Amino acid sequence: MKNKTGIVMKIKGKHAYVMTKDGAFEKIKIGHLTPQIGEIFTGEAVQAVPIYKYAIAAASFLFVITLGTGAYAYNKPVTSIIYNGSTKIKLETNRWDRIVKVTPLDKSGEKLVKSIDIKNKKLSNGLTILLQESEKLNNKASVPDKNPNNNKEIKVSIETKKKNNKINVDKLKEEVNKHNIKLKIENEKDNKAESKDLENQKKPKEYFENKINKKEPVNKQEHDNYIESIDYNEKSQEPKDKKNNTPKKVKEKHTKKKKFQEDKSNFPNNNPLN
Amino acid sequence: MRLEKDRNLFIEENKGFIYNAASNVCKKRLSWENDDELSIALIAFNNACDKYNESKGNFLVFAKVAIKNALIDFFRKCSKNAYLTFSNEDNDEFNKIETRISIDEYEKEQENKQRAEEIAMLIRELSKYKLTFDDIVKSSPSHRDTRENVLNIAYRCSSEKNIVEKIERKKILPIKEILLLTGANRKFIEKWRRYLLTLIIILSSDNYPYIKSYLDIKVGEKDEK
Repeated sequence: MKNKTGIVMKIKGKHAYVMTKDGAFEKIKIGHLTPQIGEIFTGEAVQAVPIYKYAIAAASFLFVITLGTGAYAYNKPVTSIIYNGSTKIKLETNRWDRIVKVTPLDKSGEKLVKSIDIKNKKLSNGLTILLQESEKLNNKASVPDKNPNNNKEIKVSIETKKKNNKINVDKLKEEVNKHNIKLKIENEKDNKAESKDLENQKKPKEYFENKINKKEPVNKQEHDNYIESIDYNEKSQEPKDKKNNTPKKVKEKHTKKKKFQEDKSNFPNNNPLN
Repeated sequence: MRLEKDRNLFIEENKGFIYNAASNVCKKRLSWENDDELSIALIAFNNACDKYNESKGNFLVFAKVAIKNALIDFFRKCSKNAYLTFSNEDNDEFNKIETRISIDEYEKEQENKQRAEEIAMLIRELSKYKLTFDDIVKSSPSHRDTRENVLNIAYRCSSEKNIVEKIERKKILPIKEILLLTGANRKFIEKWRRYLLTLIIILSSDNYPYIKSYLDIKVGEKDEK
């Protein structure tokens, strides 16, 4: 800040307005000595902070915030994959399927992790590289068996918090096929979902009724399955506790159907023409 | 007769002061034999002696303002290119001599008082135009060139009676007239209108000799720049 000298025109708090010799009007800071109006006084000029500086501050603040959240989101593991082949390694990926953390779970894993760099790579690429490298290491270290390919199996277990539980492992599958290795993918959510689907297909009635009792939402497919099963059951055997367990809508549908059939059967008798 | 003699003696004694005041405004060395500026300064000094009374404070300050104004008018008349500039150099022996002559403590106080009165007057005047020092500080140009351009426009306007009257009557800058008179850029005037108005108010009035004398206005040729 420059020192400015001028005639004191006005004093306001800790600032004085001065007119300098070269015709400029300035606002300056007052020290301990308060000058009188009309006095020639020297002080440090106060410059108003221009608007663009506020803008810069706000922009940089936003920039830091977005960068911070971005970095946080990038580095936060959402999915963890345990690769269990010749070595055991745990990979953690973020929501964009990029590997953010690699933890070896055994000694050979440690070696392997040191030798390769799969951080920040796509999961499928990373897994492929992992497979290739572990195969190379394996081939170097061990004496090849007579029929080595038959015994090899890789387990990949996936646990994810992602809603859309799609993890692309096509590349890995291709690579696995090249090496003639069995690949077993365990996906917890998938397993659960699959088992539920199976249940729905095998015992649609119980599954549906169970859901209704628990007040869970039911989709159309399940409903249709249920109807089919009812029809099938009706033909084969009369369910004993049908009244208690059948949901209202279905019940109505069936009572209507029955009524109609009864009407139809009674029709010739009630016909006024006869 | 005696008074006249005394006057001559007084002028003779203060020749150095007149020379310094004139050469300071002209930014060059002058010679008593050749330069009109010095005779103009002498006449101005003489007039100042006539006009002076004690209410106007220190005589030398008053005389300095008178000389400066007379010289600036003279330059304006004789050359179209005369260009006023602000000077902020803590220059020259003149100021030192002046301070040595004029400033003992008592006089300093008196001068401050005079200035304070002028400032109070100026503030009252400015408040009629709804101008505060806050506004003026904010809209005072920081670049020297801009300030000097505004100063020149202000000086031309302040010597134009029409404009000064209009300003006093309407309390607004008559921008059209100013544009016609100075040929300046409309945006420029509008941007610095507050500063321009303040300068015109200070320069056009005779009530602020101390403030005027503090402003270090010099005359130069525009082409030199």
